[in-house]
Amino acid sequence: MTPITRQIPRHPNVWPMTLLLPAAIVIGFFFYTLSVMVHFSVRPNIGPGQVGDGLTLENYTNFLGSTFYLGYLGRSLWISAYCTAITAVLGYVIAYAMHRSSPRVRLIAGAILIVQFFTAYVIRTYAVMLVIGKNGILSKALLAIGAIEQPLTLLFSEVGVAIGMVLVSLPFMVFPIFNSLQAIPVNLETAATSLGASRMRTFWEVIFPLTMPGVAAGVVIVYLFELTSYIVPGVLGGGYFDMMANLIYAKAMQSFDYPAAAAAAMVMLVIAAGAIYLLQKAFRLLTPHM
Amino acid sequence: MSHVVLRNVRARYGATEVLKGVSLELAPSEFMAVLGPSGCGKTTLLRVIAGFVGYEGELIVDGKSYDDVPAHRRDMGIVFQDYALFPHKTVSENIAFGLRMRGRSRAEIDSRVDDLVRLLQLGSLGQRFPSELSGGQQQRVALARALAIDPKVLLLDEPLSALDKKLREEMQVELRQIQQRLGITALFVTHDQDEALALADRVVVIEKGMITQTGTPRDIYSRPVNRFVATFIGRSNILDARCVRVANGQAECVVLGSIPVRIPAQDLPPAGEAIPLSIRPESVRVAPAGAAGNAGMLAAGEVMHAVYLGTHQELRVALDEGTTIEARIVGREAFACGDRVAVGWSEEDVTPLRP
Repeated sequence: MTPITRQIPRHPNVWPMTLLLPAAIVIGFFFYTLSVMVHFSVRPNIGPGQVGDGLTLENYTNFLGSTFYLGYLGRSLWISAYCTAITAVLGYVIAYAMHRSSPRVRLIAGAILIVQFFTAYVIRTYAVMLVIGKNGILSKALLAIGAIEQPLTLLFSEVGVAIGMVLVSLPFMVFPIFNSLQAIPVNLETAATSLGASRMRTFWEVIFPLTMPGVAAGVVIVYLFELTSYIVPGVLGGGYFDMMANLIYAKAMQSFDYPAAAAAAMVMLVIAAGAIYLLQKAFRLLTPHM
Repeated sequence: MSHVVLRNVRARYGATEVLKGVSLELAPSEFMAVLGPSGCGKTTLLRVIAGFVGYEGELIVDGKSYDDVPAHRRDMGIVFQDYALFPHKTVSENIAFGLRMRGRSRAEIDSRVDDLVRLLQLGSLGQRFPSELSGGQQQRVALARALAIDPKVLLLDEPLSALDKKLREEMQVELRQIQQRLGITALFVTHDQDEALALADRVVVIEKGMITQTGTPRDIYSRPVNRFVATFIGRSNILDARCVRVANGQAECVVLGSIPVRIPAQDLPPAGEAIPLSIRPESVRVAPAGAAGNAGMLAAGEVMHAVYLGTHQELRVALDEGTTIEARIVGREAFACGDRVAVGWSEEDVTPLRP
């Protein structure tokens, strides 16, 4: 007797694949622009607004060989690093306070953050300027209570940019941390307390480790967001504290040196990717197995 | 092996009073079940003892007032319904948690964890994470973690309700054995009457924030004090009786129109009121109408509903007088819907209830 084998007819059905089309278009578009940038970055500069023929690494060697340009890079990496750290601490405190608050307070705080979040980036930055400027409310208040003699000179300095970056990126930190706090079952705290852990120890032993995924998400988003800041240093630094994005913009839109701008952008891209990789590796070590 | 006394404990959540003056005493090594429907305040009672709910009244453990002792200094081991194991810690770390919080030495912690792993047969699971364990194993870890601190009282909040029936029954036996071996005082909160009866030395029935009845499982089942206890724990036929006369401390009453019943006179309500009587379905005898076994039967009726359940048969009999009565028949006799039957019961199986 011959075994009966029944072949399931396999007509490759292509129609479901069409659902991937929008995603493919978006990815294709980004890939295309990126490839244009890579392409520009290895072309010689033959005058403003022109891109020459032939391949060269000159743009990269110019960038990487110049302490002036590397200064922008170093400054950007450094200010973003410490601002991310400050944002993380501040964001955690805000998220934890919201977590501990009554539902009404939580709602109001969340609403304020969301409104902030959806307000145009430029407007938010100007708002910060109004607060920390020479005639801003912070300066006036401190003068009024006699804490300072001269008006504040925070604006157009590194400190001003740092304050702006922290304030503008806070929502990106608060929400992931808040979500991870809310996801912790209340009974875990009760259990820790019943086993003899004080509030402090319950926090460090149970709550904090369990919010690490939220902190990691916040840190990665905020670091990238701050590293690529353009408007905040532009408005609050006023030319006295430019970051990488400002340099790239100036190269492309003021000097019309597209190859140099593209090379700087590529360096930035690689460094940002490396930073994410390292951050994620670090957090994988810190995040508890679950 | 602690001795626990609660005196007139009241607790409220916002405007609703959840415990309305509960007084309770747990003897050393006693296993007490707190039984009640959901929302009756039984979990609140547990949380009062553990120190997580503010209350009025007194809590005394081993002669010492605990009212001002914060939760993390009370030494109460809690096993939660959802286990509440720390997901980021291994089984060993979970068990060791309470000991670490007490600053015990590494060596002491290790040997205690080993003991508990052995006691709860956790075998080689020490390095696993809770998410890698089955429900039953998580249950054991939760119990081990609570026992590790050598708690004054073991508080169990419906700990077995998430397990399937077979595992639950196995854990009941094991829980009882461990509790007896360690001689630990335990308070077990449950809405499962079978569990309460199977496990506890004494059962406390709570209804709407107040204790309705306290007693051994046998007391509670065979002498329920009111309608609530009679119907919440097991099933009951509740029949209203009327007193005819009182003589020699006995009240002569009638139920279902003309069936005489005698009950102790001290159970009588104020004159004129009906007396609810409880008769358990398994105390009701049923025989085919007109059969020889009808001697001593009290009423006649027709089987409305018959369910065969293997160990027994459940019948619902519509009595000619108008009332429906439930019966639980063990034995070979089979009844079917529509059968004419005679029913009866012995006077000692009739329990007068508080109206």
